[in-house]
Amino acid sequence: MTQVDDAGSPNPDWIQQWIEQQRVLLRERDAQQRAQGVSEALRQQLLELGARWLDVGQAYLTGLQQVADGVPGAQAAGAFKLGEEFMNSWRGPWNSLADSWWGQSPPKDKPAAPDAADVWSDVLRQIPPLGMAREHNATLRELAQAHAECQRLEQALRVMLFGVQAEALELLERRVREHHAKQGQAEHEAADPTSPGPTSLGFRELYDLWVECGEQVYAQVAHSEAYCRLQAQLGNATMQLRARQQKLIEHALKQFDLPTRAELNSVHRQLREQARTLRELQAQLEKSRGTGSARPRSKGKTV
Amino acid sequence: MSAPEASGGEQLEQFLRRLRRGLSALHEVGDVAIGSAAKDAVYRFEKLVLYRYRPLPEIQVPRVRTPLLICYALVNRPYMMDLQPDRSLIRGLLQRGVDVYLIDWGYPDGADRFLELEDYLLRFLPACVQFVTEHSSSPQLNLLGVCQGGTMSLCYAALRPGAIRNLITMVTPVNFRTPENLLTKWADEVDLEALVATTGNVPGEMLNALFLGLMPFRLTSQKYMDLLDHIEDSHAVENFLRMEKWIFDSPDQPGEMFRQFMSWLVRENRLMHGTLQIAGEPVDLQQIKVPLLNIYATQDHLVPPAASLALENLTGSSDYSTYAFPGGHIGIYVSGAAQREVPERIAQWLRNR
Repeated sequence: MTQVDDAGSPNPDWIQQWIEQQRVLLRERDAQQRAQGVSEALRQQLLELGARWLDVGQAYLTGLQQVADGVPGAQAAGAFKLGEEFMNSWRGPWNSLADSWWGQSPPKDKPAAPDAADVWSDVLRQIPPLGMAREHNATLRELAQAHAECQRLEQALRVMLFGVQAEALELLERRVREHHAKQGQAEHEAADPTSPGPTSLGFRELYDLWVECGEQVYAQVAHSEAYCRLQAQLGNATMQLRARQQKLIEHALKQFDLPTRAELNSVHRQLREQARTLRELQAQLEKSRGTGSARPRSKGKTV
Repeated sequence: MSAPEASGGEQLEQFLRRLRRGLSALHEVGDVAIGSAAKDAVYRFEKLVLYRYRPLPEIQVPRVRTPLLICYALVNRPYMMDLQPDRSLIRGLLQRGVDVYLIDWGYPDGADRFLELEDYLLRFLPACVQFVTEHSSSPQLNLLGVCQGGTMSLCYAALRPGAIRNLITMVTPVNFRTPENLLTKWADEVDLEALVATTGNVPGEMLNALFLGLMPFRLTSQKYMDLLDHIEDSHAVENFLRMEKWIFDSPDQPGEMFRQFMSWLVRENRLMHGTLQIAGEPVDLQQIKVPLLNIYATQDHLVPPAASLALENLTGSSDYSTYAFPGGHIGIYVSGAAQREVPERIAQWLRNR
């Protein structure tokens, strides 16, 4: 059973009724808070937050109902879009509340966070993981941090390498000018009135010259302390990221009772220790027999 | 620089025509065969395979009586020593009467991640040395170490000098801290523990990326442009493809071995300082008393000449000599000059001892 709203779209009446019920509860709750002496500013923020939530909630539920009813033009993706609007409906009030409670909203001279999800994650990131999923949250948080660090260092390396490209092009330009100047000078000295003037470099010569300039500039940068350090830092950060990814994967494998690399490593270490012991015993045995060989038996084959 | 003979548009058209011909030529060439000299796998130890190259039946020079064992590096594959008939150090040695054995370390996998330097120096190499002496009925052998394999050969010769008659090192780093050594600088602040703990065996592709990073403009761009200049020459294209295969056919490095090599030899430069120990035994290069030929490449950007030449002041050999090959780290094996000079120089040096 549906009804048509002002915009002409179907709007199930149960949604309308439920939303209205929530609005009444919101007003009653506000009245109680006023009686309890809650400040006007905070009450207004909570009212605004509740009203936005209900507006978006109504649209969200309507969208879902349309998808369920097979209404032409309704798409499941629309529900997700509404989900984003729902999150964003929190942005303004949440920023204000965060500001008043923790003083964590962005400075006034900087733009606000782009959406509510960012505000949530910023605040949650500063709280220690809690509860039964504590360990998982901590692992995911470390993974996110490692990922961010990799991206930061990648960007720094990109900037440095763009610098190499730019400087190489400048050097190329100087070399080309020098080439023209030398050629012009030679022709002037030859005093040949029929001379056609300086000739341009061919594409291939220009390309080879660019490679030469690039390698020259790059060699200086690649030997610099800053580049060596940055490259190593990026490598190390990448390893940190991979280590955290492996931790997650190993956890998942354990849930299915599948072997992990860590278990294999343990087995390998045990095998190596046993092989070493065996070699020592063999050496003692051969020593006592008066024989000795550095070489295990061969498995030769013609190829 | 010469003046161009064609306008910009004409040059572009020429380039595109050459590019089309190049793609067609590459399609026709297909895959390429590697190796030329006949060989037998005579010994296997875990993933290691020891090959003996079949002596050539008819040669015009007297044979070198002591066999030669080539200890190749763990980085890249040993077929560089016998890439194709006209680019083969091994074939050159066979033609000069040298009995050649070659160690192929194989492709390490996850089961090898805890192999240590000790395994290579005190298990694998001694086993090969013993096999070669028994197989050839020779009380001693000549040992030729290549690049990292040369460093390992030096360590082995210092630890177990008994079976070695002559020692040859080719493009072998000894001093890893020379100022021009870019790879060493890059490695300085790398967290080796984390690298090995995370990757297990260090991927060959990761090392390839580093090697390309030494000269990125030339190695990732210009060399392919240069190929177009020779694209009509199918022999040149095949040579290029063989090299390309060798360059990127890179085994992973056993994790623990890599960590020890990088920490002890590269970062701490223990060979230079005389502080390297393997399984508690000091590696003292002064213990190398046998004749030693140190071959290096004057244009080597991976192992700068200074890194190799440091050996002179460290070894205890009273018969130490060097041979400076005018070329690079790869050219010393595959260039035309290398085919003419290097095997002849080695064979002559061995024959004189």
